[in-house]
Amino acid sequence: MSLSYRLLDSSSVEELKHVQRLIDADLSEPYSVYVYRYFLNQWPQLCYLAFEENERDPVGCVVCKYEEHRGARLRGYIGMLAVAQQFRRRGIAKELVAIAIEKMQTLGCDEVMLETEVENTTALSLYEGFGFIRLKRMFRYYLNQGDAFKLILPLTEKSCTRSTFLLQPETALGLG
Amino acid sequence: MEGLEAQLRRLRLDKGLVDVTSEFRELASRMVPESVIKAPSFDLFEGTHSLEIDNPKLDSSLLALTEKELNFDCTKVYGEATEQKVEFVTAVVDRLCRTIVLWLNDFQTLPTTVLSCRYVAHILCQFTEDPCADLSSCQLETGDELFDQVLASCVIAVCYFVKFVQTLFKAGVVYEEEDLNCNAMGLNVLSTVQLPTVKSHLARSQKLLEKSYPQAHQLQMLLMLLMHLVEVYGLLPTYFGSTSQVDHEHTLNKLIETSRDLEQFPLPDGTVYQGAFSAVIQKKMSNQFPPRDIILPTGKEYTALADMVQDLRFVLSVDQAKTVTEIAQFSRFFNRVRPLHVVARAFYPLNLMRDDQTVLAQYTFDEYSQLHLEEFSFCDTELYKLLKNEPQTSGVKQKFQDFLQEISGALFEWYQTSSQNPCRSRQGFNRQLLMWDSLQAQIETYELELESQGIADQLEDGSSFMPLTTWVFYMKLRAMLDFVLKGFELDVYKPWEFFSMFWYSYYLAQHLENTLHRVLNFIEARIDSMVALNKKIKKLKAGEKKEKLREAYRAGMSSQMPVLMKNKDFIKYSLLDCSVIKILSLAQVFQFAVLKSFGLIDNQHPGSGRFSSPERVHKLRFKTFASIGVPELPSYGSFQQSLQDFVITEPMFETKLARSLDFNEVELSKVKSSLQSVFQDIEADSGQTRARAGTQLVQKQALEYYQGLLRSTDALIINGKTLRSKLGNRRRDDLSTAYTVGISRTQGGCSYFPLLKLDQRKP
Repeated sequence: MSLSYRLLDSSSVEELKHVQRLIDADLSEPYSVYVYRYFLNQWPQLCYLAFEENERDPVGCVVCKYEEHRGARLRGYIGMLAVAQQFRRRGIAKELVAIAIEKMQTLGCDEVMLETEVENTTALSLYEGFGFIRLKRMFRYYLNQGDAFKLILPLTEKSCTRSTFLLQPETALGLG
Repeated sequence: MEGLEAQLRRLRLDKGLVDVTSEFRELASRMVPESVIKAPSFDLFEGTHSLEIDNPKLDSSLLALTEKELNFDCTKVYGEATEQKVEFVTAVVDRLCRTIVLWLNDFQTLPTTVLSCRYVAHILCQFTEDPCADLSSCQLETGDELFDQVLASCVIAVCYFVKFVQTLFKAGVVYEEEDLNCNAMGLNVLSTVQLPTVKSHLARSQKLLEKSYPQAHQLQMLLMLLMHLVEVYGLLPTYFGSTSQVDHEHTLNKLIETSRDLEQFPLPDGTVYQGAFSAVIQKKMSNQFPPRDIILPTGKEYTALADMVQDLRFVLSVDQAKTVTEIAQFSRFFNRVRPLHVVARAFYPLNLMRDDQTVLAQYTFDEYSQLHLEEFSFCDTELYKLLKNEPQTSGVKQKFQDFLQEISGALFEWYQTSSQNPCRSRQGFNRQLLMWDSLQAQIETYELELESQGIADQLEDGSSFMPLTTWVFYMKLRAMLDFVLKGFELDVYKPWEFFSMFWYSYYLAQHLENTLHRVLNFIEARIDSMVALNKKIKKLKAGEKKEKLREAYRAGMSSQMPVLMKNKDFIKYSLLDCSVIKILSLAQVFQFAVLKSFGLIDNQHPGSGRFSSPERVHKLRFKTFASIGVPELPSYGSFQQSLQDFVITEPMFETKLARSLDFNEVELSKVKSSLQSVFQDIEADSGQTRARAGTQLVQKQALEYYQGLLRSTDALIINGKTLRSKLGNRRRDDLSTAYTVGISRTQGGCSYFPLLKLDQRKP
């Protein structure tokens, strides 16, 4: 059975509800409608849905954003990723992440960042398969008291330079 | 919608309301469709904490309460006969004491623990409305003295302990929602109340119990526990002066003793006080958290309370330190192997670096920073001697004082880092790097200026010593090493990164070792020169010159010589410590190279090709170090080349492999012998006046850390043997189909050195 992927229609309340349903079923953090609206209304171009040929509703989604980080680089952020239980192990999450990163790359992002639970080995292995590395560990980051890893995928050289030095061009060029 | 419109139609402007319909419509017409309405300063982080009405996961007003909870009344007496009343009050107070531990030990919130007690909420609501320092607004008003006096006292005492923890929290060493949840739902936790007022309230209750309820044995013990618990507030440095060290010891010992005594009592039957602990506060008050179940005691709370107090007593023992090195070593080890209780961790830096700008009320910050320098590389240097006779107004002295302030800032960060949770601690070391690096650049310029004025110290080989720069460099290298190695502790690195991180750790340790050798050479030269002075004096004829030299010799022997001797011992111990880290890092590099030689691992990120590149990922990992001036970060090419140098290739693969594994084993046996010397140094500390490692106050903790390193050394030796037997002697290409490389942690081993082990590949 074939799978297809497309952008979310942010004007459709139904689609927002599908995203909510997929995410709420999975994530340890309870998100308010504000959080969904915050992402989907401001960065609708970074929310993708996965559809299965015989299913009416989406079976997976990825929700992202991108913003300037410390005035020095453009940072993409993967906020939520979920695939319905019965459609897992078919590469849907991998494809959704790939589509989202590609999009962030075309939007000019210098890096992509996300947080994931230390215990979630499936998610870690998915993201690390794309080249993400664990930059730091955050103590009791989630409501369930679990630690998180902050993961970053560097897309450009800017990601590899401290923000302070990106803001001082003479230093970055070795003149200062 | 229809209901809403009907309500709107019923509104009448004659009830003092103002019609804003037109303004509302005008403003609404300016709204951009699909935009999120929010304050400009509101960001995602705050957004993820937002609550949502009618969402059962986020709206605590939807919490269902039982009949007993709904009907519970704090102004009512529970129990008919005296015995029943005592049973009720005892059970409530016992549960209340246990909730303190549940709050602090299980990282729970106040509303699900202490504030879940209806009496606590009741009294704090009254106090918030009318914050009387004499506690006159904190009443239960049941008309029964057991409730109105004794139970009220206990509730006030528990609240006062919460206030103590809140005070620690405000110092900013521990973090909200990570280490501790201090959100009291907007209630004023006895902010204006002084400790003596609470103690007198408790004393009145004690008298009442003794006189009227002599059979209430458990309640008397609970009251005693709470009396000592509130006295803990007196440990805060702001209270020092009114209470002595002896009082503190007594309070904490009594607290431990009473907690141990209370362990004997079983958990009371919860039906005794049904409704007294509930989620009412979450439902009825302004709750910033999603709804949560209240936390039930397990029966081990008093043991945990005693453990907390023991940790507190332990961190207070830093007061006994006689030198700055001892304080620094205390800070290095006290929270290292076993993380201390959050209250002890929060208390430690507050007690050490006080609001009155002193360290332990013994040294000013400037004095303390200068002693840090003197107890390492600064003693008996030319600048040291010059500053002794220089007037306060001299430029050299003033600039030196400026640096002492800068050093204090960096040291403040270093000491705070030692008290933080492991994740924050690594970030703390990261933050320090730029601080030390910039300080090093400034101090080096200052010392170069001094050199141009002839104020200089040289090593035997004629090179410049620069004692201040040397100390800053030493501190920076230690922070860099801790930052790198803590990444292993926290599982930040994947197996493919082991080579780069351990090779870099080896590189840093090599720099540290060189620095320590330079300091040792300098100190030994100063000691030799002082000893030689005596011989020189003996050869001189009697006269003014001889007397002057004799005077200088006496002064040097009494003031500088003891410091130099101590410093020499400490540097020798530090060299052993450094060589252990260096060789263990090298051994890891060797084992990685062996695995790579068999095609089982590579140092390139296996998935970095599609959107990034191995080089870019490497640069991101080393971003922190790229801006450090000295030691310069080796290029990506140097890392790659170095790995190639370690990898075993044909011809003579078999011989080279055996040589590599043998060499590794020999080096690791040297580590074991270094560790034995460290053990001797630490054990000698307790009995000698000249403490070598400066660990006498943290002897157990320091030994535990080095024993962990010893176990890791043994584990690396065994791992080397396992690799030898599993891989064989000859290069084979089929091994990657049989094995995968994983990470293994040695039981009781040092968390800085996990192993790369071979796992049988699953079919």
